[in-house]
Amino acid sequence: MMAPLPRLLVFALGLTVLLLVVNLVRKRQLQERYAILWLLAGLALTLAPVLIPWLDHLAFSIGFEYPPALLLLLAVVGLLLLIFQLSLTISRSEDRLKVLTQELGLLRHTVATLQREAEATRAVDPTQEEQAGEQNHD
Amino acid sequence: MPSHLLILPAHNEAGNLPRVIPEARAAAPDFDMVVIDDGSRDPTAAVAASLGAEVVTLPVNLGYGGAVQTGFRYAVEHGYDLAVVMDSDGQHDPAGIHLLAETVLSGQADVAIGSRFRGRMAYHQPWVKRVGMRLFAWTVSRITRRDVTDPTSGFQALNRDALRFFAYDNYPVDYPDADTLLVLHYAGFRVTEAPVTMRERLSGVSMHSGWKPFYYVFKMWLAISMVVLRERTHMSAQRIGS
Repeated sequence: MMAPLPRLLVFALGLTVLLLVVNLVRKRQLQERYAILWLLAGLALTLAPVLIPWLDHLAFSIGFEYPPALLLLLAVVGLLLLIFQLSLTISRSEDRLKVLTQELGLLRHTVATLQREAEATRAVDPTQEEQAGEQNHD
Repeated sequence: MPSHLLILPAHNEAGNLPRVIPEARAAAPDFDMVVIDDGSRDPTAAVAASLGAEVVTLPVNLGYGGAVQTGFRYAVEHGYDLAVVMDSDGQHDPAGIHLLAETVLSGQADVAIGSRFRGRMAYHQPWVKRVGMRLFAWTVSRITRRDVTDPTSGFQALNRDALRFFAYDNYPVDYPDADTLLVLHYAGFRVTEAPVTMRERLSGVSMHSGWKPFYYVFKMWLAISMVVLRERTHMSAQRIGS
C-alpha cells in the first residue's frame, strides 16, 4: 500500500496535467487529437491512488514477483504510444512541408519570369509605363 | 518541337557551378538548364543565375530527392519530353548527357541510368558505401532480373512518362536510389544502364562523408525492403498518359 503523502502527490500531479491539457485545448494551443493521449495519462495519474492497490493485486495474480514492475511497464507503453503518435505526425508534416516548399520554389520562379517579361515589355514600349504611372496617381 | 531539360540539384555548390554549368552547356547545347537551389546558405542561386541558368530556389533544404523531384515537376509543368539529372558538384562527366538522352529517345528505355562501373571509374569511395552498393546492385539485379551495376547513380535520363510518374508521387525525399529503380520496375517502366564517367567532386562536402555511409547503407536497406513489401501498390500505381 502507498503512504498517504505519495498518494496525494500523484493525485495532485494528475490533476495538474488534466487542468493544463484542458486549458491548452481551450486556448487552442493544443489540438484535440493530440490532447486525447495526454488526458488519458492525466486521468491515469489522478486515479493512481485508487488503481495502484488493484494493479498490485493484478500483478501478483499474473505472476509479477515485484508488482510495481507492471506499473512501470504500463507507464513505458503509454509513453511509447505518445512518442509514436508524434513520429507519425512529424512524418506527415514533413510530407506536407516538402510539397509546399516545392510549390513555393516553382511559383517564385514563375513570378520572377513574369516580372522579367513585364520589364522587357515596358523597356520596349515606354507608353505603357506612363499609362501605368497615371493610373497610380488616380 | 521536342525539348530537353538538364536538371542540376545544388546544395551549397557556388564553388563548383562556374565550372560545371559551362562544361554542361558545351556538352549539351540543345538542352535547357534548371538549377534547383536546395536551400543553400552560399550564393548558389546567384552564381547559377549569373551563368545564365534558370534557377528554382527552395526556401528550406529538402534533401537531394526533394530537390530532384522539384526538377521533375518543373520539367512536367514546362512540357519537356526528356530530362537528364546531373549532380552539380562536378562528379558526373557531362559527356554522358547525350548517351543517356539517346538511350531514352531511341525508345530503348523509359529511364537510363549512368553507370560508373560500366563506364570509367576515376573515383574513390568509403569501403562501407562500396560494400553496400555491391549488395544493393545484387539485390536489385535479382529482383528485376536485369544486370544492374550501379543502382546508386544519380546521373539519369527520364522520358515524359517517367517524369510524370515521379513528379508528384512515388519519389523519396532523401536518397532516391536502388529503391527507386525497384519502384520503376514494379510500375512497369523499362530501365537501362549506360556507361558514364564519374570523377572526384570538385570542392565542398559530399553528402556521403564521415559517419554518413553507415546511415546510408542502413537507410537504403530499409527503403528497399519497404518497396518490396509495397510491390502491389507500385504495380497498380497509375501511369498517367501511357
